[in-house]
Amino acid sequence: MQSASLAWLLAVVLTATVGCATAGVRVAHEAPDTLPKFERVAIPPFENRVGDALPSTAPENVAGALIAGLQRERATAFREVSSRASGQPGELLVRGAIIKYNPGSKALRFILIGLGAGRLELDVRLVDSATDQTIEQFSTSGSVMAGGYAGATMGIGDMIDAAVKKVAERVAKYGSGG
Amino acid sequence: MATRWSRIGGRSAGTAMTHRPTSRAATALVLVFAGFLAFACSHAKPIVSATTEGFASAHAQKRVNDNLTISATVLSKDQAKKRLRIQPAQRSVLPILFAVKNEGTRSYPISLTHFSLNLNGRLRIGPALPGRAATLLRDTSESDAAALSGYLVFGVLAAPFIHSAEQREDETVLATRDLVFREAEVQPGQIQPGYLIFESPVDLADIHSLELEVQTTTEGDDQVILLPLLNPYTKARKR
Repeated sequence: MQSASLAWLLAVVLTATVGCATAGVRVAHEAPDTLPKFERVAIPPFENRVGDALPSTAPENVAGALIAGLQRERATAFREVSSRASGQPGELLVRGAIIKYNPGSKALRFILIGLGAGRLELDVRLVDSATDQTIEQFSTSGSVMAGGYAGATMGIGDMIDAAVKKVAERVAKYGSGG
Repeated sequence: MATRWSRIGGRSAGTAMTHRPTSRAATALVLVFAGFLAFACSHAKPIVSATTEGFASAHAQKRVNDNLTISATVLSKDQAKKRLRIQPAQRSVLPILFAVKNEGTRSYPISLTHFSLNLNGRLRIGPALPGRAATLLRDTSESDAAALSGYLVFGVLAAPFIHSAEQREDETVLATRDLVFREAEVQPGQIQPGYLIFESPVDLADIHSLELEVQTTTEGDDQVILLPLLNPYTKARKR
């Protein structure tokens, strides 16, 4: 009886809460040694380079997550964070694209960790809005590798949050207040 | 036969064996019922379309010129639960219901870009784009309940339910995106309502002053209208 209870408890622990969302960064165009500073950053909806497989809300969702992340975690970096570019001097433009998307499956993740993993890859170009010159370009990804109950409750939002966190770290360095 | 059985087992097991199957069956029934209950009680529902109801009793209302009147209200916890199916404080979301009344003779274009929110007089944020807003308002209770019922009772048998719940939730997100305001052409004599969903960078309880800023252009002149709003989520300041 005692061993049965212990076995049940172990099964509960193993299946209940195992899960994480991870992210990585690859740099295509290095930032200059002396970073230019900007007062304002504009983050329009990301471009969809995946096609019909990508949920139509994803481009605005990614841009919105990045805007929220900068306003919440790095509130003093920029004077203004917006979804609309003005093209004026002093503005950093984030031109992003969603280049790969695999939603995975909540149902498979529930069955076993390692199954149904989801992944999202972004390509980001940081541009001086006034001159249209590319300052830095990099790609980052977010993935969901989870199982059990945790796996079944994670989704594209978690992938986006993981990927966007890395983007926000790099963008914030260009803020004149950061 | 019964006597030989109890001798082999070393103890009298006859009485105990009579009760055990009944208690096990009862436990299993309770768990199955709990599983069904957890799954059946939740079901993703789309948000309620914005209406002009309450236009006259909005928190704030201002006349822009002879022809336009703008009103706005921050939805309370109960209103947000009823209309948007969310608890705003849990998601750091400030949902605002606005309406623009056009009493003029020409149509008037409005869009998301005309609105922003001033928090505590220090921070200015724009409304979330509709795709982002729809994700913030996503109701995952059905797939969560399916996962929970699988975890408690059905095990891997719950996988198809989780999958179908996720698909329904995805469809609901798309429907919600279309119900969140993006832009409109307000016709003469029309009242145009809409939801503005602001993702707050600070806890809602820490917002003590709120102003909705509306940029308008009337006959070539740019105007900024400020509507002070009540924050129903604020906590009382210590004196």
